Amino acid sequence: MTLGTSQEIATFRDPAGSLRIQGEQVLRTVNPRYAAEVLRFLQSDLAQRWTDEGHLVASQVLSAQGDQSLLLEHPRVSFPSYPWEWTPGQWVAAGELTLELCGQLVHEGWILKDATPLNILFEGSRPVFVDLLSIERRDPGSPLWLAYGQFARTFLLPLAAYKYLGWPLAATLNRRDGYEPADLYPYLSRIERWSAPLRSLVTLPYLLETRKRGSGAPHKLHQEPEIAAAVLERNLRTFAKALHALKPTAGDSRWSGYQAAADHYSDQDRQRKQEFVSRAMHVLRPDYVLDIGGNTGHYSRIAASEGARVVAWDTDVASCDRSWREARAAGLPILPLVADVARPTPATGWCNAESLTLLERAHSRFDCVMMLGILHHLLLADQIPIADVAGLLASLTRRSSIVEWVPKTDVRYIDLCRGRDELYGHLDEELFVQQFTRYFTIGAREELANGRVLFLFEKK
Amino acid sequence: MKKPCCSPRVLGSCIFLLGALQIAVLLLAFERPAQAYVDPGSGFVFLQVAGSMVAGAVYYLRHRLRRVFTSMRKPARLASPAGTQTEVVENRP
Repeated sequence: MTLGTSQEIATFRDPAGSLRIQGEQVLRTVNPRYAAEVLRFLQSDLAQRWTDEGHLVASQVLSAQGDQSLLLEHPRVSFPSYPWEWTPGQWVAAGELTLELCGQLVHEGWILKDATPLNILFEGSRPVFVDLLSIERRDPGSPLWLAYGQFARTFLLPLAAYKYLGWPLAATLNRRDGYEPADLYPYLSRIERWSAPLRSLVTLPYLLETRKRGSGAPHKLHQEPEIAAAVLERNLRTFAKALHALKPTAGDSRWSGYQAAADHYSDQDRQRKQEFVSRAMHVLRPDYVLDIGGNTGHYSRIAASEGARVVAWDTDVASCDRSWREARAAGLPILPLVADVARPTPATGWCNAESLTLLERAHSRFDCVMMLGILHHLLLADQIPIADVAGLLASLTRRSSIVEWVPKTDVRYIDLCRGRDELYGHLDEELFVQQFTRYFTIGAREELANGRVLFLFEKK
Repeated sequence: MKKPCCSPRVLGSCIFLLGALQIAVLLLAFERPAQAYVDPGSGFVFLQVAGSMVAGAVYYLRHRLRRVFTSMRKPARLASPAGTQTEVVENRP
């Protein structure tokens, strides 16, 4: 099995400059015409305060010579993620940060010239604004935020489609510039179309869109600076209200109550499993942990409480969202992402080169990878050969792995097997150990009373 | 002393209604989009421009009314606010 290992990517859309990621280096080139303005912003108190508070990615000037390009270096965010992997709560948090920063910029005579979720990354559970070149001087006489259309298309309409129509946020993988009002309008009921906030987000913009060339709305409005600033601040508050109205309620799913409802686990077994993970984390002291099948983040939080930065993948949106909310409330460095290890997020964009695949980003980035209660899903539901699972795990971790083996007698194994016993008759602990010890040595083994076995593997 | 004929709140409501009327006129004035090649951002721009004009007018009138009330309470002469008119600038490519 060949796994992509490229970590290189470059942006090209912004005329003000470009960003290049080469392994651990994140380099930004600012074109000469924009260099002075970017430097001026970086030297402002606002930029310093945001960097200290973690709202803005830090920048180090590598070269700034007269009328030449400005070269900046940024620290690499632990694990880059894309909006199509975020939970609804993360989308709202990213939108709130965008509006909050824009409001503060307006106060200081600056503004955001674009507003898309792609300008935000998550460092743990915390959103960070990373697109420095989106910040420009504001026309003091204009009360308009020209990036509002993009904010509506890329933040508000996907959230509206998720909340009112059930369209998955993951579908934005194929919509770099979000949705248009016309995409949602036909699917809304008459009552929904004229109720807030869809009235001003979908219905009125849809009815006001023009078809004739050159008959577009005036893109400039001039007012006295004092009035323009007050109106712009009022506009931003209105957009924030629309965002709040689209906050999805934290819902339940088949998996979000799994920890409490897992009847195949006695309290004692659950306790022993927690202690096994906690002990392993205490001994290994990993800096970066990947929790595959992280569910609501119970074991991610154990790893984080031992000092690790955790990325947790799960296919269930409600579980990931709950995990993110708890991590955010507790200030834990956990990044839950809606991702399927059996169908990893692909690269997308121009030439399939505008984003990195999930596995390219994850390759060899973790000191420990946990697969608790997920292996039997990969083997039976996704029909992945056990040798390939072992190979993937070895490519993701630098040092160790914690894996839960689920035997044939387990009720959940029987459920997933659905009578296909002959097809999976060869899957037993002996084969599991044989395949995993091609890449790992066994550091610890603990069998629970319910027959499940916990393994701590050390990479060879 | 003669009382003003209407309060700032009533005036604000009138201006809001005028804004709503403006949007209604715009809705009637433009064709309904149904096919491709619509100008996709124009709806959001229209709304923001219309909202900003209304908000700017309300802000301006509030400011003026506050000054009128202040001058009625204090007979001392106050300087008039410098240029507070709202002006739409044509969109040039």
